[in-house]
Amino acid sequence: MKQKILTLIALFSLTGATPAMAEKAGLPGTDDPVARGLAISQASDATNLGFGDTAAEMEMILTNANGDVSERRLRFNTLENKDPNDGDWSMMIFDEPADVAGTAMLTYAHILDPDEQWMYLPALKRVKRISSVNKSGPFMGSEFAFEDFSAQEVGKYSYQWLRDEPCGERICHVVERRPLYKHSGYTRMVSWTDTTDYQARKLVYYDRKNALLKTLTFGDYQLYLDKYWRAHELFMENHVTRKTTLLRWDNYDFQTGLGKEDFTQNSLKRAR
Amino acid sequence: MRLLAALLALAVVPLPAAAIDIEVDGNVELEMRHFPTAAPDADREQDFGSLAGELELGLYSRDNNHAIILKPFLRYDQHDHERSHADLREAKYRYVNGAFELTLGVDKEFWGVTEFLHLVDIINQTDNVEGADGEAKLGQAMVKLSYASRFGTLSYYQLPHFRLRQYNDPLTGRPNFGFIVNDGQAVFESGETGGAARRVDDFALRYKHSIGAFDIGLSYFDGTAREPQLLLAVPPGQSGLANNLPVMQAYYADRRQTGLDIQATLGPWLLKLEVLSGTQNRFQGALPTAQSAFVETDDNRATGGIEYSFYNVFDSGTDIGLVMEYMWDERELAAPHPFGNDFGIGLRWTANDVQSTAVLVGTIIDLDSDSSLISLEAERRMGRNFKAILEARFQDRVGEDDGFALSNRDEDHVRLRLAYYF
Repeated sequence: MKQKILTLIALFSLTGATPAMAEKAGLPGTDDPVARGLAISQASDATNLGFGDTAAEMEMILTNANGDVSERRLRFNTLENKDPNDGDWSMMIFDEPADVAGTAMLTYAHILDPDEQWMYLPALKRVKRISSVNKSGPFMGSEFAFEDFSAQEVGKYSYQWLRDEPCGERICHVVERRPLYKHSGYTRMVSWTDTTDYQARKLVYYDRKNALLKTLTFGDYQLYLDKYWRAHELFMENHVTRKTTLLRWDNYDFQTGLGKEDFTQNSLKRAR
Repeated sequence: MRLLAALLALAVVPLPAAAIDIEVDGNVELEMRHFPTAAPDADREQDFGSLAGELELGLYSRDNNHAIILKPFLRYDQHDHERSHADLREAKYRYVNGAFELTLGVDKEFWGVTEFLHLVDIINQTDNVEGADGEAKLGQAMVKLSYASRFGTLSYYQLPHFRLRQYNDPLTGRPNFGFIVNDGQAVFESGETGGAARRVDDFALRYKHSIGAFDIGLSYFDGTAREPQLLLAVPPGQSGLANNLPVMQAYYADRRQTGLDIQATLGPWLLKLEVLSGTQNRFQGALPTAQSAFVETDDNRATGGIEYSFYNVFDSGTDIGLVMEYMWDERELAAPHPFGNDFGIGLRWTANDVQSTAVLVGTIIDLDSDSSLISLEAERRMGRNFKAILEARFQDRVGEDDGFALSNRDEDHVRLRLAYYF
């Protein structure tokens, strides 16, 4: 008899018929989808708490419908903002294509206030404050929009839990989120967050007319400092244009000693 | 190039490779300039071929606190011997300690916020032979000390070596505005000619701060005016040169100026203002010579306007930016530059495609004389490392009593560059 029960349990967990068993303790129930959606997002955000700072390299491989490929390389430094009501600081430094090498962008992200952004143009040695209204435009000609890059703060969206379902070998919470900030190119996104590590696995974007636009798949997750998960392969597929962008992260470093003085306009000019 | 540089560092200098990063970047370009209007004298050319290159070599300590950067520039022009020139755009040592930054050597500094006219920007001499837009600058020797705090950034500049403004070849060069400037005969306010008479105590101060939507800059400069006053040295027909053009002498006065630049970033709107107030001695009269009365004069200038961007127009992924700026000088038509009472409009289209295609069209209209200048710039990356850049400038209308527009009338030109970046 004992043997039979064990087999039964094993069967259940294999088919994912008991997703609730795997989820984080204390999540609001399925009868309150709004609270449950928000709590899932907060749980996911909490896995990143205390990361301090990161430095990483990024490669983007852009492929159009004809299969033509072009590449971009940049580096990304981030400083965690300890204030939970404000966003992180980040610096993006472009390496390739060679004609834009040295161009750099400094961002102070905020939750619902517009982000503050400065661009450094090396040919003119000019730091220019730029409008952060540009959310929906393509980033460096890729299928990623600027808003896909900005810090994914919890407060930037409203949430609604839809369902829990298997996603690959894991179980995922499926949550719909709608941007609360202005100028977004999306009406909504549907996110798949796994119930084991609370990391994003898939994100489906719907355009301003609520038509299916893009799918982003997160892959090659690696664990840093025994605590922080980072996806190293992000694959964005545009269903309308048939163009794709593969974003590959490399050389992730945590707690490298970056401080606020590394995220100033002076340091923007020194970026390399 | 980072990888290649790292490999080079390993191969060539195995010992310091562990302690320093070496980076090599640069570009070479092939340039064609065409002036459709034939010049009144035979020596002035219509087509100019040119080659230019810029190399950037950087040595960085691993913590990035120490850096040595060298950036030589070289241009060869087929006809214009003055335009064939070399310059060290940068040759500096930089030390950073937290919020402190020290720069020792040759560097470039840009100040200001506006697009059509850079009023408060003064540290570097304009590389006048490079392009008609005045954006290219010569390297400036300096000791710069900068401190960044949450109350803003304060910078001090000591500028020990003044650079002369270069002018096109007197016979072949274009654009030619109907006179010749002989760089070799420049005079300084000390009364002497030649390099030895340069001031060595030029200095400047700048404070910059960002508060919410506002970016504010305050600057002070005390030194040699970067823009010379041009004095008639040899009247037309007496120079002995084939084209009989008058020869002007560049006079560099001592100048003090205070500048303010503000940008407010409000959603898609950028509101910009630059204000400048300066004092220097000037030779008086419409066509001054070294014998004209020399009087201390104040100049007050301002420029400002808006920049508005329509991002992702009709979900096309492309952006359209609109720039409108007004340029004012209390001296209006008597000002020693064309921007006394002018209005500029520019339209920038950014395709945001894989080739980073961008087009900029602009016009500057003189509200006193109705003269207008039209400019066009277009660029596009080709393949991985090439970029094509097309520029065109036309003097559209020449108003009455507008000497600047008149002298520019026959100097419309198109400039095409094909650059390779590495």
